[in-house]
Amino acid sequence: MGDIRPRPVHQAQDGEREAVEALFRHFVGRVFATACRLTGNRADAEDITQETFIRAFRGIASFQHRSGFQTWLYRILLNVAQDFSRKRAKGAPESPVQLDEVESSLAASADGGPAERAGAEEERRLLRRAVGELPEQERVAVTLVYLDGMSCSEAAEAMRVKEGTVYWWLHEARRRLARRLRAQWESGDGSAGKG
Amino acid sequence: MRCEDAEELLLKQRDGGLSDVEARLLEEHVARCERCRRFRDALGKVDRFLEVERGAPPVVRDPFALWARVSGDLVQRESEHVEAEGESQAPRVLSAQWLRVNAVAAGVVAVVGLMVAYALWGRVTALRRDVTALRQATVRAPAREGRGSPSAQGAETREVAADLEQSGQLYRELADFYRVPVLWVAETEKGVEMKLASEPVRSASTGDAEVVLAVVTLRDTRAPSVRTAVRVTSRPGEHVTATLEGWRPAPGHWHLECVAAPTEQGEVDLGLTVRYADDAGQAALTTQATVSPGVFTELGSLQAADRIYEVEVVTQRSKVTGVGGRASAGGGTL
Repeated sequence: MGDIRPRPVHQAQDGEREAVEALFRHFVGRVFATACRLTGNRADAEDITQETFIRAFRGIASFQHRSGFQTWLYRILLNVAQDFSRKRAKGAPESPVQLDEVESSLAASADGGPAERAGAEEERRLLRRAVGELPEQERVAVTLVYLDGMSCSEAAEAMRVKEGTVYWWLHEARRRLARRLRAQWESGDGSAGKG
Repeated sequence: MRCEDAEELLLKQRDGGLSDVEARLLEEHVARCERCRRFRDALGKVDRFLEVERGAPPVVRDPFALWARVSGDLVQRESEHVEAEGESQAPRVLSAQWLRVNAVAAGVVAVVGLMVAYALWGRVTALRRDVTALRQATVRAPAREGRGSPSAQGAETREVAADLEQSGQLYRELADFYRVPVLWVAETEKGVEMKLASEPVRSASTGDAEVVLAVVTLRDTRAPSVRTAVRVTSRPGEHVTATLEGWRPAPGHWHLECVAAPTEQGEVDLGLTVRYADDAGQAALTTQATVSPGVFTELGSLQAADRIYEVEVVTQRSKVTGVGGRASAGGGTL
């Protein structure tokens, strides 16, 4: 994932409106994508994206360039998403993944006939749900590294943990997901699971 | 080899982290253990799933609207902050001095936010210059007129015999003093005209209202720098009219009527009539549209004084809190 050159950040810190716009334009897509994946809900993701940029722009003067701007922005994003998740936990349960365009694109990419496609789609739904049910830190690590394409080092900075910790969470997440899928196969007719 | 150990090796295998010995032992175990074969197959499916998901990121549907919300909220918060604390030391991004104009002027600031969004996505037009000039004017110029009171019967037109720079302070003072929306600002032969609403936008019970800010622009297609912007702050279903007299270069009588209402689907239902009349004749454009907030939408064009004017609108849904917040200015007692 590409960070942005320091200059627009400095300009934004000096209050240049165009630079603020440039930062928004540069990062809005990936921030939204990450928020969407973390929440599984487009409307929530928009709210989180909005709040992330508001907090970032209001506090941009405090950014000291010790990390990349993207890392700093993602720290804010994760804080906002966490706050949102806590509020959600107190109220209505988090809605399941509703990324319709992802669903459709995945369905279109499936190989084989209708029955195989239906089976593959079922597995993807299961895995998407399973990702959403991972322990929070593992879910965030999977989202940042495997889905958003951050390096483990970048993800570690954003999550304020050591790089090795991120590796461990990813390792554990893959184990959980594979076990979950295997359990699904074992509870079914056993016909699935061919590589 | 135990199954737990085989799982560990399978998880490590993707990164090529197995020695030759580990790889051979793993292969032997998996060959005779169905459960570990299933784990291996499942892990392959998981890795494939993650790759596919990565290749299909969710895409933000309406970045215009999102930017409008971000910039609008920033402006509103700044305004509230300034009003509450005066000259705060807190760092700000959107904190030019013109934000001192208080909660009502925040609506005007929101228009600038929309203009910024306009420019952001590559559609920079001369309209932005107006807003920038107006913003600068609100900061720089000294007061030129005393404070009067807008008519209680309806919106009042203020004609300002000054250029845009000089009229800025008056504009700011009016917004500050009356806490009412300025419906439109336009360059005229005389300088700048402004039209003030007669009442603040406010609900009787809470002081809050969801309003639609609609900026209607008329742009001369042959001279894009010739344009005006009419800002409408409308409660749902409320008709707002604006009249421009002597607007260059078609100095006849311009009449705009706009009604805007937020829909449950997050859009804005808009009805707009633009009429022009002079000694040579008249022209009109009447249109209805459902538009997405933050997105500039062309509504049509009309011919006036041998020129064609494009009509465009951009809207923003906004929660206005406590407009007319001073006790003396509330409740339409202006």
